[in-house]
Amino acid sequence: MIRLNLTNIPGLQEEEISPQFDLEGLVLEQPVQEAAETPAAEEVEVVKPRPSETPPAVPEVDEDLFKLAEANLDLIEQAEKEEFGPIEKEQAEKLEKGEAVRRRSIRPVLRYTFYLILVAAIVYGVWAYRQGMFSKKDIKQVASRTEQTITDEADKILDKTVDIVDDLAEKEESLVSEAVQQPTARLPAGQMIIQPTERYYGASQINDDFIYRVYQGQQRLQVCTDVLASFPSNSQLQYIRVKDDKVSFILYVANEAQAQQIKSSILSNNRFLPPEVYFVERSNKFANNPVEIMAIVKFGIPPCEDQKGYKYFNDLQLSQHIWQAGLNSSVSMEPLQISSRDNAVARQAGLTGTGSTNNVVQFLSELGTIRDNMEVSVISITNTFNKNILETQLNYNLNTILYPAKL
Amino acid sequence: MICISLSADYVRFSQLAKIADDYSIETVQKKVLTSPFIPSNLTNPQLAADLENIFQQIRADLPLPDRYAALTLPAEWFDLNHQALETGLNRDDTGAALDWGATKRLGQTADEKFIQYYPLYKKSSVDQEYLTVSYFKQLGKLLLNASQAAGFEVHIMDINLFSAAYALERLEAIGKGEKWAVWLVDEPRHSLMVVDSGEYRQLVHFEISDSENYSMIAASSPDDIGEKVVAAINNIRTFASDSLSGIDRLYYYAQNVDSGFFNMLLTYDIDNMKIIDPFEKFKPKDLYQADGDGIGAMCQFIDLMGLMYRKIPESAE
Repeated sequence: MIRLNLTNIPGLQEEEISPQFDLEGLVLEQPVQEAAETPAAEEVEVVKPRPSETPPAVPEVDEDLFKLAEANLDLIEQAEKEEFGPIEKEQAEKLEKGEAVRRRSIRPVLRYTFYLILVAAIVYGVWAYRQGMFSKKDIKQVASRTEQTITDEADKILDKTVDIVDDLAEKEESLVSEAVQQPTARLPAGQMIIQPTERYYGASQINDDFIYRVYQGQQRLQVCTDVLASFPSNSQLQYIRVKDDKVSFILYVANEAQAQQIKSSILSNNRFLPPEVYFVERSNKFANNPVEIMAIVKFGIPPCEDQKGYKYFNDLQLSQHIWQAGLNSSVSMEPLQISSRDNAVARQAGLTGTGSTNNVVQFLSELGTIRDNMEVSVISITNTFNKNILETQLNYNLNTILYPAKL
Repeated sequence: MICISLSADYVRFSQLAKIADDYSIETVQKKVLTSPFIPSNLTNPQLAADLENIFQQIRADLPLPDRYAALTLPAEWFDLNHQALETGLNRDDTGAALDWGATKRLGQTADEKFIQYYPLYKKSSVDQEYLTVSYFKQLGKLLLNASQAAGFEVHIMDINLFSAAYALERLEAIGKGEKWAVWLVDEPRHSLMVVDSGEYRQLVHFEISDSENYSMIAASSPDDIGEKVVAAINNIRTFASDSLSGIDRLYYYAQNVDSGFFNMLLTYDIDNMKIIDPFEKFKPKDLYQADGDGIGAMCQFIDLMGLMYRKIPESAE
């Protein structure tokens, strides 16, 4: 007998009922604290990475920043700029990271060398004094010579360090400018956009299957920011949700022309397929924005060609990493909730918080650039106030999956 | 998975989990709505607030944290009818023809509705039957808002009689060639769905107004198969009978278990009229029993069981 699902898209439904019983919704999430408190709960199975069986489906790409100042510019031009804008930021961020890592590795050498010299000088001084080798005058001369030696050595090491850092900075700068200068012409319609590949990542610390899933999550974040950026600044958002290869939203705009403009912006972006649903109708919910848009749009994800540099972070490192991204973007954030302590398997985690539209977009963009072991599987964003998108605060809710390190 | 069944005055819910290889019903509970969940109340802000509140209470009462939700709603919220089309049309043309038919029927309200078409049996060698189901988008928004307030993600939405029928299919070994029906007993308005040879055939609404008569309110197709069953039901009120005519089996249940009519039915001893305990194969860990623990109280959860069976393979029974 037929089985209805009225949450499916409108129109003709599939004839065959799949005999498969999917497990979606039966594998439950559990905060770490609760897992510790209730022994029975530890038995709850967490989401296993759907094994390597089939390569994950279609989804698609890209990232951008929500630029309020450009809100009234032509949306197509804006989308083109946004597709490539973040590359510069991403590379700059990597440059900063690289520099910081090198500084961290050089500083301890400098520090320990200094301590060694100092200790050796003091020991020698005490020994010589006891042997009666120095008069008070001699001691002063030795102390003065030792001080001079230490200062000279320290200066030399500092000079070397500065030179090394400068060299590195120059090299990285040239890499960044090369990447930014790559052609930004749009690809023909229907062809996926593939971001320029970067080659200075190290070996990945998670399995290839997981890398692809993390990569899909990055694309979902970028799609979400893309769509948010296409909304006019005077519009009012009810929600936007990205799951699998679909983005859906309900938005209130001032007139039908704006609704059409948003649709055109989506259609002109070749990562999106033509909307499955794009209802535009009059609504009396908001006086300033009497036109309601309800949309469901599929997107594609290009192949993951660069699988390097996906780092494994333990739970603490990952939480700190995300927390830092939140601080950088000025969004408020609840602590990362992780379903289980067992980091040998894939686990669900949840991330929620609040921020202005601008800040939430920046936060999602930042998360989308990090090559880590976390897949963002579902993004839900809802509006907290009945204000336009410029003035409101958005609640974000990310369902994620944390993958184990490569054995 | 959180399963939620809405009726005019109550919200019932359950949680299904898969623990290792076992399927477990963690809880089955019931809550009272202060604002009735009926179509005439759709735009009442009190209903929206009430639903949000109850969904949040449900989340707080879940034994395990969960977001994935499935809903089943009363049939009166939906408009169902059948359309027959010639076979041989391609998918796009079929969709367009069905849209055209639905728009002609619904008129201007078509724009305010979500409309779906489900392929049914072949009416003849040349015609294919489709079930058209439509509901107001406003209903979708009402439920979406309530779900979002509780952090639920609604993945499945069904009609209560379809959910109940699916549970019965799984619980009862109903023969492929049998004609059977499921009857939601309510006063004064009743709903009934007929299944013939494993295929959905018709959904009707009717009233049993006085001691002798009934009146048909709506039917999803011009077929008289549903009314024949209603007439048979009407007969058993006044004529002693060992079995119902015109149908192989009739299953009944109620969401208002205090209904006098329903409690009278429980005393009837008719061979092919049955009431089923939905939990005879899977016992919930924590079960609502404030209405009693007899079969008459348990049957109110049968549509919830139908939702849960969507995720339980037969091999797990």
